[in-house]
Amino acid sequence: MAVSIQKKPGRSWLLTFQAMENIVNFLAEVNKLKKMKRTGFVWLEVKNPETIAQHCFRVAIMNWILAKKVFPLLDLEKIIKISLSHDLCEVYTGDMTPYWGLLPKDKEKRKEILKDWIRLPKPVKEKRAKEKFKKEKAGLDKLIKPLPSETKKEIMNYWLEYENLDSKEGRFTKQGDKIETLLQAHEYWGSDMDSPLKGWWEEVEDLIDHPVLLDFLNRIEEKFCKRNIKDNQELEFFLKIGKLKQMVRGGWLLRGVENGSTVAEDAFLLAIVIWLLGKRKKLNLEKMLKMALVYEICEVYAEDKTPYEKILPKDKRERKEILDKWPRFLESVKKKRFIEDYKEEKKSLNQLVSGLPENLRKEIICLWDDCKRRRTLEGNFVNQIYWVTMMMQALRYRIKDKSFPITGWVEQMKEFIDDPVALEFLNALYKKYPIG
Amino acid sequence: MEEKKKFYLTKGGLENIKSEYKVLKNLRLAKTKGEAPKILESENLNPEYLSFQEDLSLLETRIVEIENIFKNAELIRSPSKKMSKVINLGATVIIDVGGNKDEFTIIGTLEANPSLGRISNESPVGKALLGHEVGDEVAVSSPIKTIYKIKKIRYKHL
Repeated sequence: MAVSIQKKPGRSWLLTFQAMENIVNFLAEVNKLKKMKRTGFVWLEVKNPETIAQHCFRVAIMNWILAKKVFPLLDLEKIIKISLSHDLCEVYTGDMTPYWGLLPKDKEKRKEILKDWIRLPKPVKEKRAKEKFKKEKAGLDKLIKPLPSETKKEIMNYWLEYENLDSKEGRFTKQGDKIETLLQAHEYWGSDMDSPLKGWWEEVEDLIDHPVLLDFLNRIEEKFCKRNIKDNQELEFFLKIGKLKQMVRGGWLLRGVENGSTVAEDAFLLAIVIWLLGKRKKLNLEKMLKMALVYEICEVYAEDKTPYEKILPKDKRERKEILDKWPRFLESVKKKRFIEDYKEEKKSLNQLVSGLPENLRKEIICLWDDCKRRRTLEGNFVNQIYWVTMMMQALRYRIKDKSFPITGWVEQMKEFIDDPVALEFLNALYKKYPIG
Repeated sequence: MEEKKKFYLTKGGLENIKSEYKVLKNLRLAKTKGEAPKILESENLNPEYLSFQEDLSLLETRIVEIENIFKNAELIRSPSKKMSKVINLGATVIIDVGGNKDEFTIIGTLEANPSLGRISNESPVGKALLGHEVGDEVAVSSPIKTIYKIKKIRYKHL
């Protein structure tokens, strides 16, 4: 009988490990955005309002697709990165809306004020903006402190470009960010303009000047305000993507996790991880960020399947036992299951993107396919980081609830992950969240 | 660092990469001649190449990447009769994990897809199984110990 040898890390590896631990600590903080509800919607008593992570996910995908219309005038990788990072500071500051500190406690009076966009004298606006900027910058500084200096600088510069509107990508992202919120508000209140929608419309009408975004704003108006049934496929696509904000992942439901993370939240975190770790690979980062955003969008139509489909018995105890092990199959069965799953997801994805322009439609399908089949180096890396990011979430659930089945996850990681960066990340996760 | 890495490929895998390389080189030629739109609109073109329509540097990057793979490629060959009793690249193994049977083929990272039963020789399990024979029990311990009992080894045409 032989036993494998676990190699001891050398000194250089240890130095890298420290940096990786810092990244894991940073991500643990960013993960909080999955649970932080957006203030405006909370104040307006929306039932189960969106989280900051959910919002950032759709901002990123929306801004990328809209900015693509004027490519190469806008840098798409930069647009995606600014979209992903624009609210990171809120981990510590919370979601500070323009109404912060000005709303009365009385719910009805508060709702009345929120119906209109806030109008203040210029010096007051400037003072409040300065104060908000200072708080948020301090929050972001604190959050990114453990990151490598190059990444730290990059995130801070992007946030400043967004906040100060001093690059074309920063301006575009900020405008797209406000439009995404307006769109979400319409999803909550429909076409009822005697609602807080008015305030959001006033805000965007003050801000938006990019032709692509003005055109998109018209389309929102046509759909929700004029009820004009024109060809609005792009908008319909974003509305369908919005469903992922509330879609709790099947894997967490299966394991009885309460308030498990949603597809949109996990995609947001995956994109952030790809950004941080992808820098260490000599690969196409823009492509990988896009892959992270689209990898699971097919779930708008396809069920979020797990490898345990069709093998789980009804008996609770037996289910738990099976869920605690990675399911084992012969190669032919694995192939059959993969092909079935692949075909179903591809069909759903085709349905979802069917109204988009041909180039974009093909690009999205290709990005998904690359990743699903690990067809290119980028696809292989994103696929592996996807699993390790899921593992991070699983380990967090395990810390909260010791009965959360983790052995199957660990077994899967040993077989699914071979990329050195992904393995380093995994080791840092095991240290941060010991299974014990 | 990555440039010097050896890429283990099956004959089929190498053929696929060669085909892709041929298409990309034709695309580059067409682009430099200004014929790109025509070629990119072709029905036969794999959508995979569409991203190159927007960015020539992407196309160059992929060509360089493939050339690096060619430079460092090593073909996975069938072992001698004696060596076919030992797990090496290209081996399909049946193992027992906690009483459940599993089967995978150990393959190079470029062709690995565990969902399809193809695991990489660089994954913790792939790495640990290499060099073992039927009857061996291989433990991979980090962070939970899993024992892989080797039941059968075979080499099929890849």
